[in-house]
Amino acid sequence: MSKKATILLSIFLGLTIIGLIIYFVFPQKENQLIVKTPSGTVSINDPHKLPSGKPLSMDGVNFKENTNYSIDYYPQDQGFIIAILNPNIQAARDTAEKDFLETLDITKAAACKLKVTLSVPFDVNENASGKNYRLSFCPNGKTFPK
Amino acid sequence: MNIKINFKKILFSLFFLVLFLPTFSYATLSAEELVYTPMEEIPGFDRPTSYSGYITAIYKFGLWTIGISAMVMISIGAFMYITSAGNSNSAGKAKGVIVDAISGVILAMISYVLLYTINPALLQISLPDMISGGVTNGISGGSGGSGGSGGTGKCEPITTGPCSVENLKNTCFGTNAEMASAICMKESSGQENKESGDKCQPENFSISLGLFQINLSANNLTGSSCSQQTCATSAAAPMYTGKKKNVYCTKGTNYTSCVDSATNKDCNIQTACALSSNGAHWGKWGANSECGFPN
Repeated sequence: MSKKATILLSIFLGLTIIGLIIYFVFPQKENQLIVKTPSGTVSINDPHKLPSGKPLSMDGVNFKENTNYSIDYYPQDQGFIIAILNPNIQAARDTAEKDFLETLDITKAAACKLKVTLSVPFDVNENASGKNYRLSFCPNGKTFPK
Repeated sequence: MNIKINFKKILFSLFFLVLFLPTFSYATLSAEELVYTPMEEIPGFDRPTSYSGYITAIYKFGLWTIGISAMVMISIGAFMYITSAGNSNSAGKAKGVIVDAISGVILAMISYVLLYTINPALLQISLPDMISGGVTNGISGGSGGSGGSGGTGKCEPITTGPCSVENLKNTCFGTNAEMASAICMKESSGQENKESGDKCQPENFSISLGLFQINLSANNLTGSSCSQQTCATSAAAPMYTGKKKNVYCTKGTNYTSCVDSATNKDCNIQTACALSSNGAHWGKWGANSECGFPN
């Protein structure tokens, strides 16, 4: 075997071994969705593939709902809507934000890159309704009025 | 003076100059006009309108070029090998051409597979904050302030989903889309399946539904997207008001059909349009007491 062929074969085998190591050490997560944001990309659990997902218009999905909150996702602008449904709005918000991170399997820093609308409907709390409070742990998060 | 012209270097420089010349065009654009359409399309990728799209298209075009070039070189090498007629020197050269072509393809493929395996996001090129942040902030800043349409700061338009200003502009609300979006945000937080806390008896079904929280005991549904339109008397009665809260409804066909229609976003928007005179008058919505839009 010529010297050139030996070098090429060595490179090929070396890269293959590196590839295999990476493949097994960092297994590819399934059902992931890459969300593009102005601050970079964020990898989240695909809301459409979550078992609790209910389809909405415009290819949207309601992927989490209970007596405290309801969360929708719309791929059109890759935006999330968190509606607080419990009159104890602060406690419901804490639960919603915690579950939001867990359901999408993301960190707080990554969540702050996403386009999230967090608001309270009029029939839940008139005083707090109509505003986007965003996620409370983000720099642009707002607190509820007292 | 003896100047040696190196054609390889000149060709290489020209190639990169042509490839990255559009970078300067993007650089001269302000944040507001970041969308730029190249005069020539990149084969197979139309005309990317963003810088990241341009780089991605060039990268993918490069992969295609490597693949096609390798195929051509393998064919040439094979032809050389066949026509070497037992000449070991020619046959060696032909083998070299084939091996080089195959190794080029393998290297290109491995670089892609390695990056994709580590993190697919590495292959998605996006602009840093410095450039694209300006655009986004500009948009959200503009829609965040509802003062321009008579809002009081308590009623912000929503920027996501069917009630976003962008979507409502294309409906019957037209130029009143910003007010409509703010009312939708205040009433339902932009949730198309939102059921009200106001309930009818005896089984605690919701009276108001959908994006604009249409009160089924007070209003019929209007519009081509509403499969059931008569609701005010047949689904829930008497009319639910702030003072009169004893409303009765039965979970019969009418009520179920009215709920299905009212939670259909198009039907809900069309009904809200009819009730608000295409978004000009919002007096029928309790939420407007805080928004201060025209009654």
